[in-house]
Amino acid sequence: MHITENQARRLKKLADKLAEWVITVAGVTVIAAMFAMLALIVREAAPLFFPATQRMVGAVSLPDGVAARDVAALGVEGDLSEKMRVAGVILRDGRCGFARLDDGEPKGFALERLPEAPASAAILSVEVHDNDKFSVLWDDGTASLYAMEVRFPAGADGKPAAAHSFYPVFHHRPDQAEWTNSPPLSALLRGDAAEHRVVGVFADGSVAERRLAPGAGLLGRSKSVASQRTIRIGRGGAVTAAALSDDGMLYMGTNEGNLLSLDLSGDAEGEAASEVTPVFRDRRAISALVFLNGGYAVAVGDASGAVSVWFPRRENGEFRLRRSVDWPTGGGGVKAMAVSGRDRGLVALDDAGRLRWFYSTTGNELLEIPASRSRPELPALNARADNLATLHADGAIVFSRLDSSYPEAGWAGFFKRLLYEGYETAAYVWQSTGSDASEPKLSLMPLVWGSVKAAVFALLFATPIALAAAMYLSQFAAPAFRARLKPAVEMLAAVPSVVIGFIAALWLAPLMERYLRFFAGASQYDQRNSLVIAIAMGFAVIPTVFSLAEDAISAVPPALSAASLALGASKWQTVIRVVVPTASPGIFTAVMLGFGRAVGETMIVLMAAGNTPIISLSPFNGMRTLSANIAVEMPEAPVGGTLYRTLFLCALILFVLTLAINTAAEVFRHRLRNRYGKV
Amino acid sequence: MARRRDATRSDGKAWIFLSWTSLFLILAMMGVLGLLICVNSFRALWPNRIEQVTLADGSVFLGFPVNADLSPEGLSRLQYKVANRELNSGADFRWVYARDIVSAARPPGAVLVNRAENGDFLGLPGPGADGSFEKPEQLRARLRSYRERWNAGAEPLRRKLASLGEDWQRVHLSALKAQYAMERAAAAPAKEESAKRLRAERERESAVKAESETLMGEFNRIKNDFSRETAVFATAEGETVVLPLSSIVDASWPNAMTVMERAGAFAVNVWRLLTHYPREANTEGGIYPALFGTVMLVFLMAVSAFPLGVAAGIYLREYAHDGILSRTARVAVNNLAGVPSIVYGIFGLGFFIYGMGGAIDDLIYPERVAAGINTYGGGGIIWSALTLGLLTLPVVIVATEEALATVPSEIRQGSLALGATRFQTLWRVILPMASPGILTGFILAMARAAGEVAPLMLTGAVKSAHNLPLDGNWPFVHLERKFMHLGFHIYDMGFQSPNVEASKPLVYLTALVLLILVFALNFSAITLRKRMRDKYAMKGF
Repeated sequence: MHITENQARRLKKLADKLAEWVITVAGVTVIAAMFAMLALIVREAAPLFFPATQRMVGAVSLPDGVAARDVAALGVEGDLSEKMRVAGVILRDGRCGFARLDDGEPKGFALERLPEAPASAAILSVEVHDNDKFSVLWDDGTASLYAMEVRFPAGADGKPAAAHSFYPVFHHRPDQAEWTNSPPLSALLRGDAAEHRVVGVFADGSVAERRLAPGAGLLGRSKSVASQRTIRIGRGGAVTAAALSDDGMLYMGTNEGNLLSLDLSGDAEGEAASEVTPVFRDRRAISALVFLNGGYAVAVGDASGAVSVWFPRRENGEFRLRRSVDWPTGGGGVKAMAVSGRDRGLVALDDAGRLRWFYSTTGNELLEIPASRSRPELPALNARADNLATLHADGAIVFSRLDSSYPEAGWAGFFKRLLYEGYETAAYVWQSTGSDASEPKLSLMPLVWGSVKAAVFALLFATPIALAAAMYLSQFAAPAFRARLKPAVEMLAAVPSVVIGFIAALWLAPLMERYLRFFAGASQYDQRNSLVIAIAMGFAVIPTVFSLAEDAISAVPPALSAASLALGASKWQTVIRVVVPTASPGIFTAVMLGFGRAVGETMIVLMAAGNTPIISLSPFNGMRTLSANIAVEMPEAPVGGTLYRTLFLCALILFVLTLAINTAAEVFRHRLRNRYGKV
Repeated sequence: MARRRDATRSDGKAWIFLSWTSLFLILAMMGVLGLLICVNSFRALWPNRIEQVTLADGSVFLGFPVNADLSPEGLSRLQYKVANRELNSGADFRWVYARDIVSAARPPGAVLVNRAENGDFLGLPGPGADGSFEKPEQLRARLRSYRERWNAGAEPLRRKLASLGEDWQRVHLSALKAQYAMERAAAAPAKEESAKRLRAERERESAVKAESETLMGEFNRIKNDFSRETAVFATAEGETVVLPLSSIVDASWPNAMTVMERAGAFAVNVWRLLTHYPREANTEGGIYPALFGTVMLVFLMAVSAFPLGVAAGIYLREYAHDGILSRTARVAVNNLAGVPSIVYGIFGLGFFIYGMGGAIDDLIYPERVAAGINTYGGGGIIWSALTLGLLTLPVVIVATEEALATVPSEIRQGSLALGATRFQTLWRVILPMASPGILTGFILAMARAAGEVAPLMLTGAVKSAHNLPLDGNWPFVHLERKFMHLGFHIYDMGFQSPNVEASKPLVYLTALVLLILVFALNFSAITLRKRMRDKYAMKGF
């Protein structure tokens, strides 16, 4: 085909335009890449700082003839698709029922007597634990443990349905008439496959414990009493509230502000260690008591409306109950509390009708749940702590959606010294992994400390060597020598850091341990420690510092040194008084950029620093850096979880830190260059 | 007097000497690093002599001396690699005090057997059924013939089985797809259609399964026949050990070797290192998949990222007006160069894998997503390559810019004055002149990428991947596959291995291979740069 000149010209023009377009797009892509990177990391990390929220979903009224004061206990559960919510209700007359909310639409509920309930008995008290277990004390002296079971199987039409019931786990009918004559304040029932336990707590401070052998029956009902004992503490005032942990720790609060503890975990026949701790100096009454998730710390609600968290802490070799956090009074006594089964959160309701949501680890008040309708009388949480049901004075059960996906995160969780459960003092601790029951400790301070410590140690080693070598090569070495050696040292930059890391960890660290352990004396000596890092990472940083510093020193105009020499200064004097000061902006930039490189380095610290997240000044201890932390923890982090987002936050800190260092170096260099440039 | 002292001090001889030692120290550290890796690698490949050690308590063992030091009590002790893991309750190494050693001999008949399982075996010739001892050359001939027969009789079957396994995987996935389509289909005819397809896929699936089961039976029969052939050895203590020939990778008699034979064995060991798959949790065998993975990763990275880098460099130098856009771009490039590599890794994980990969999976393979199978939504070589591409982008851009800057502007103006368009000038005149510089940038970027490990840990490098991302099975290039990498291999073997001591020689070897790869790339870049400089110096514009 023949192409006319005109067509050819047009084609050429088109190609020209196209090329310009493609190339511009490429240029813009590079800018976009940086911002995309920053945006993505921020987007993943930002939800950690979002405040907790609450949204009312709907309400269901109690059936006619039932008033709010008739309700003895409340439980709640919702399905994962957020469509259905169910609240289980136990009435004082022994009936039970379920209030249902389907897609915001209330479904009326029917009442029936609790299965296997003693004939014509009424309920004296109900204790709720694990969100869905109810210890019921009847007025005929019987104690029963009920479990609320709610499932959401897919219905025939593909939509989720709800199946719910209260089923009895076991009953206990004491032979003696004592429980009927002077009934306990409450009966606390715990049951697993191995043993059933009934703990009756009496107002005078005596405790009756019975352990029962589970029978072989359908639901493993208890058969016979295996052991029983009665313990009387009899000090500290009248008991007003009690809580029992799964492993047998019993706490009782009294009307005189004392916390009585009784260790029922040991041998059933033996003595149970008891202790009376005066927790409130003003002797205000304790009105509510509940174990936080994990069964170690106990939340105390008092008559003034304050909520505090207590757990045993070692002090002078002894465990004593100490307060970790204290939320000030809300007005009116604390009436009831509900705890999360997933984290260290709890919801407390006071007499004034204020409903507050706390998080124990950080000591934060996540949210005050705004009042709706009439006064709330009873709160309930599900184990995931995303569904809240409140019973109101007007007989309505209000369902709310709670959202605090990352309550352990936030400013306090990451950067404040916190008193964690089981710790003697408040500390910065990173300990992310563990079960639901263990308390996540997400302080980033040890990691930031590790990153900075590693970089500082590396620079302490690298800077003098690199600068001296750069000065020698630039000013004193023969030109031929220089032409050969500079690329040789720069070649060092090409050595993959994984190779340096492995030599440091497997060869250098044992070697140094043999000769340096002596210097550590009695203090802890880690084989993979800061000195190993100083040498290994220093080695990796040397080429960066050396190369930039050498360039800076060599760039000093020869006229300056010539003048200095002509005035009679020695070569050394010239270098140290004229050349190096003139080159100092460049040298400073070199050190800064070396610092930036060291802060971000991953493989060397991952392999040779031991990865223990501790804050210590000792050169014989290791560290865990932000970068190594990402590499270590990312493979185990569930997508979208707290740990996952926290690691993105680590990356963000690294990103910003290196950005700041590089920018500062650049700015500094420009300023000083302007100043010295006039020389 | 005082003035004189001042004068000597200002001379600074001592200080100059000190700064010279700094330079020397750097070079010495480099030397130690290189020497350490080279010596340990050499020792791992060079056939060492086997020592037969008799101890004071009368016990005898065979082993390679590998290490010597002082015990905490100050006694001199020696570490031997005694191999024979299954006989020594799992330990490959043994420390003995020098004072306990009565004698150390080098029996010429001592044999080193490289086994497919349980690591090496060290022994002496053992008596056969008729009480005679097999000569090394007889056993060697037997091994050779065994291998030839195996390659002719069993190997094709094994390959067939492996490829059937892949077939099954593929059919299984398409059955999953058909089932998914059937469950989701709204209209009756569509449901019917996909049900038919599902039936067909299920039939194919069971056909493949049946075929592979028949083949498996046959293969096992043949394998059984082969495993009847054995070789007899004895331990130093005189215990007879019978090893099936199928478990023997190689047998050698290092004590009887001449220097030439040793060199030959050394070469064979090098070849094996580079071409064999790892065995026994990476503590034995070669590093072929890791080497292949590294090279392919770097190649993929180059293909996917370099054109963009060059275009961006051209934009900055030739097209951009000195405005806010170009200045932002320059700041972006400078800052990207300083961002830690692990941050690139976490970006790759969040953006490429969970973002792009997840979207691709949702779009193309919803049935696999429903079944919980990741295809692109998990780590893969393509995501690692793209992440590394982003990481090396600044290197390429800066190199391109610098290379373009070396082209004198007279040439540009000349070309434009002759009526060429901007693009023609760029394409026909400037780029060819700048190409050596750009190429140097490419090579440096590849060297940087080859040594980078941290981002790969998050985006798809794994400790063991026997299916290479490039193989003979349709569609031949499997970009979504996880891969092995030399750098990650070093980390994994040295720190995650259940038997760090046994894998140490391989760690050193892997480090050496990685270093050679990286330095080869760097040297070629330097050579290229030098040649380019010479060329331009002669032109003298």
